[in-house]
Amino acid sequence: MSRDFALDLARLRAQPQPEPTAHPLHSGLAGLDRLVGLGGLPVGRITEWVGAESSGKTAALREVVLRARRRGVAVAWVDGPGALLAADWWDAEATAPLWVVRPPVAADAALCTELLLRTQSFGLVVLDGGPPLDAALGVRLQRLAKQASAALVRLRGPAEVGGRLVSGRLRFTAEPPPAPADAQAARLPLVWTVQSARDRGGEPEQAVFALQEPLPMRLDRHAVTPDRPSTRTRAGTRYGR
Amino acid sequence: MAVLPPSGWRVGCAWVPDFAVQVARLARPDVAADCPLALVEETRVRARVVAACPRARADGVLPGQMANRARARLPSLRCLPWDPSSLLQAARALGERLEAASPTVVPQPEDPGWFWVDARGMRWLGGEVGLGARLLAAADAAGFGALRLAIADAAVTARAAVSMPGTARLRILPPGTDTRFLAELPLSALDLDAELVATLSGLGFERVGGLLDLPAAALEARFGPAARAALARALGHDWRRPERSPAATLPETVLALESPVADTARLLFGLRGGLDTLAGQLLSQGISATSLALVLRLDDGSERVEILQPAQPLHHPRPLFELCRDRLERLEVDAPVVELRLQVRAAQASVPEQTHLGATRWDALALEAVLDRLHGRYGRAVVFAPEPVDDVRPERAGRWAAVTAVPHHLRLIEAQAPLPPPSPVRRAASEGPEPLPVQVDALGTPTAMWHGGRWRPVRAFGPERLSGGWWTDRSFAHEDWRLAALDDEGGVWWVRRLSGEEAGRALEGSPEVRTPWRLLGCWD
Repeated sequence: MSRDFALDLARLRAQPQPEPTAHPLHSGLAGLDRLVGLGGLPVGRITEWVGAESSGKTAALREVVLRARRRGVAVAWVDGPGALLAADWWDAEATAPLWVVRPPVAADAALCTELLLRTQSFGLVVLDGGPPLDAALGVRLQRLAKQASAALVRLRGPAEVGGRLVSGRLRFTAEPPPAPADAQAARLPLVWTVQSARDRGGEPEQAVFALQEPLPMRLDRHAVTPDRPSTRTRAGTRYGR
Repeated sequence: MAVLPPSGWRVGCAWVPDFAVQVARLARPDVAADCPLALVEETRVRARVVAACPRARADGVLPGQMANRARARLPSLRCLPWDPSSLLQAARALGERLEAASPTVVPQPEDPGWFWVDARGMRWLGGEVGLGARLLAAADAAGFGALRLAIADAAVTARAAVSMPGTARLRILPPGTDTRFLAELPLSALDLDAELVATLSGLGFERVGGLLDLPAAALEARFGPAARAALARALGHDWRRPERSPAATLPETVLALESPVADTARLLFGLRGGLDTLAGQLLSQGISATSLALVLRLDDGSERVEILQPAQPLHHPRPLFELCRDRLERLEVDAPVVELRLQVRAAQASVPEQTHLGATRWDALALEAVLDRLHGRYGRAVVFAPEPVDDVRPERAGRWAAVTAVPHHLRLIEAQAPLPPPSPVRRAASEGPEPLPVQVDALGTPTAMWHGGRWRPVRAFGPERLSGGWWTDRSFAHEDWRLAALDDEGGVWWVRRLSGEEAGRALEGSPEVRTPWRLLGCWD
């Protein structure tokens, strides 16, 4: 074969690859995927998830992360407050990695997000904490998310200033769990409902889903019997599942 | 052996101890010869000692130390700025002076101050002694009177001989004596991987001679090809030769600007196209850059040289661009730039890559560049991945393991296992567990004091009793509660009551923290 017609894989690899097909990232939560549009989180855009503590936004986002990693989509989470617990995020079945970036200064969270998007290696990037996105930063992150075909989610509390150039905003509110009827009921797992809403001009569209605490509670009334005695758990399972 | 040297080779190794300090002293004649000297690299946040003269080292000034700490240890210390470009220029100039005395002198670009010398064919030119005398005289004339030279059959032997403390300026090992000379040296003299040296030392091999009695095949089977290479070097078989590297033909890209540019973004815009060309040249030569020089010619006629050391050999345009961007964005120059040149200073053969014809997101090279940048900015503990830990306590049932390397090959496929039902997630308090004054009523329901106010939780769920560790000296026993609507926003808070030894320790603290209750975070 003439060298001119030889397939040079090294050169092929150095050439820019076509953008991967932009599939939305599903949460699997009833109504939520419909609410955010396109059946899941839109890629190439910035979405803000707004809610107070215990409003269920982290839980809903974890569902997206779980599904994405099991689909082979790498996820990066810039954890400005340093609030995530590793046990909740380890998944034995995941085929793609989760990188959690914890800058020592929370103000650098946006810079870290920018660097991660530039690699074009992550399908979902979460910006948790950090200062509000000003116009210039918003444009830059939006452009990078589009180039990387990545969904960019910013988590923020209701008191924080929102970004100006976000393409979607979801508001989370949680219904507090009902009061326990008696002492025995007080030891049952918690179940609470989360409502998310999106403004689309007129009436806000809403979706409701339930979250249930996964811990198996033993209903032993004896005051000194531990509920979860310290036996060795099987490595590779999330606790309680 | 797999690696056999051609016969008749004689290799010289020349070394100027404390080369960086010597160069700095020559550049600054106003600094007294007996004045303790340190070279300091200043970044945006701190200044660190990179090199120090022997006298300063003897007084406790060590490379890697913070500059202010070094000055505190030695008040008479004189600190000069670390300038890698002047170091390279001095190494090149000294190499040219030495080359006048020998046909082949090869500087080591990654290790300024070290030179390889071809010592063959000196029979009619005064032999090896005459060659050594000429080289030492040339170094003396250039102001580097500390230069030492050793000549042996193999490069590894010459390097070990020249770096031995207390050795004479000129040391010549007779032909055929390399193995005997090396046998008494420690294993580190063989230029081996530190991990392999540590492993072999752990097995009792402290000296090179200890390796010589071992069968090569068994050594390779146990420790891999690196051990076989170590044995070859112990026998004096070293394939490295003082030959001219293809440095003159290493690729470079030049960006000549029509008008002076003071804007980094414009420089980067112009550099992007040049990097594609540079990467194409690297690919066509089958090499990857291990060291690059970014040369900026300024409008005032001066030149600024920045040395770029990638975390791993590069031949793709994108990580090369990230490397340049990182440096240019931090760089401050005195005048606008009129020309920008990116030169490959050192390269090595590219490692074969597992390639693919489809699109994938995982770009290990780009991630490597970003990881390098994050580590440089924040230290090694900045990127983490979750790992499971066998512990019953929720906050200890996993840990964040620092990511220090990027896996190059991932099986990015879909998993078929069913997903668990959606559940709330714990979020830890940002400042760690916070003491929480709590009163408990007759029914055992807690009421919390929160930021000076008295808040009664609308709903309290629990307790969940956790205990364990009684078989160790770190036993624990506590109750976890979930307090709902502790504040106006209706959060569900994760509160813990310590008991046993933990409670005892908690009650020994200051009055404001003398409570067995801790606020650990919330559920979200």
